[in-house]
Amino acid sequence: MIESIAWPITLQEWVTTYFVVGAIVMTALWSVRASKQKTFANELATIMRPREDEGKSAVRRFLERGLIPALALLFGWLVWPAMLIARVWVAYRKSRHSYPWPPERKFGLGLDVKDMEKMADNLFTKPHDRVILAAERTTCVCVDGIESVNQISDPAGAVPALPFGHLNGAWLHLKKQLSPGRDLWQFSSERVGVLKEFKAFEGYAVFDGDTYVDHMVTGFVWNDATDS
Amino acid sequence: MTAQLGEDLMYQGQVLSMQTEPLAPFLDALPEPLEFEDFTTACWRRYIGRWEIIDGRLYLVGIKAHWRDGTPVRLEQLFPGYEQRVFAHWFTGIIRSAQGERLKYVHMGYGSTYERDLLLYFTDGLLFKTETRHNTLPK
Repeated sequence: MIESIAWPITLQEWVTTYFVVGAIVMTALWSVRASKQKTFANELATIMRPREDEGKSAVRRFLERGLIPALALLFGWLVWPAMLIARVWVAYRKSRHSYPWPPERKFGLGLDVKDMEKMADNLFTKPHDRVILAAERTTCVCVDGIESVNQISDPAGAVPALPFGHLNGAWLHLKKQLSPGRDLWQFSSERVGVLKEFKAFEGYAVFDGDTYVDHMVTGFVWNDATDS
Repeated sequence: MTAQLGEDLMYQGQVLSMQTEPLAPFLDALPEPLEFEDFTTACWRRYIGRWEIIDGRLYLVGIKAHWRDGTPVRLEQLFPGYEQRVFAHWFTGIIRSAQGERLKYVHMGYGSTYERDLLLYFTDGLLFKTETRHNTLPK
């Protein structure tokens, strides 16, 4: 004898429960997001919105500020379990990747020669993460000479009376790499930035023979603002 | 890339918006990149600096940004011992400040064209020349 199974909850009740719980979850997620933004991003957004909106048509502003966020919210409500998992995952990732100050230099650790060459040639690599090539060295210099040339002063006292001023920390870090047998070089690298905002950069680099060790950037040759 | 928000510059009693980022060379010189909180696609650099030119010298006098954990960035965290004003000796280049009516909008970087550009020339943070360029659109 087969009797129909009486489900304790009907499909309609399941769906209702899903969307009610979804609404609560989405409201909670929205509140968390809003509370995080209220101090900084909202303040900036209020200031900047008119500047961001310059040149945009009324239709485009409606799409960007009204329709698209509303559709995104509706979509999020439909798939709220995925939204919840994604939010928890982001929070977990953020907690694992905090950014201490002062940051510790990671460069050069665990990189093989091929990695370093890739970084040297990658347009997207920031200048401080690039590898200086032996061919980009210009002059071998001594520490004392460089420190005396790069003393910075300011009548308002807005710079430390140390070699390289506010960049003294970077200089001390570089100096630490100067163990016996290594040399300090001036370099000039004619490699552009990712947006071609500069066409060359220069600074000081430590080499062990012809092998690159570390460097600091002290200046850029900008693409002339008068050309823009 | 969205049109980018400029930095604020106080110069000769006026607050100007500038289309140059004088803090970038300093940040690029740090041994390890700093990670600020992202807040809008109109500000890819993730901070807005407030600058001032006093007696021909360029100073950073404030910064609006947040660390990744949400706490606000303070000037003295970037420049220990200097919370009010920092001499931008690392900056050599030209600061551009667009002025007047906008002639052409470009939804990318600092590509929009305005009636005039005020150009300020610096070496090691010291202003040595100013120039005003008048722009026109090609017909």
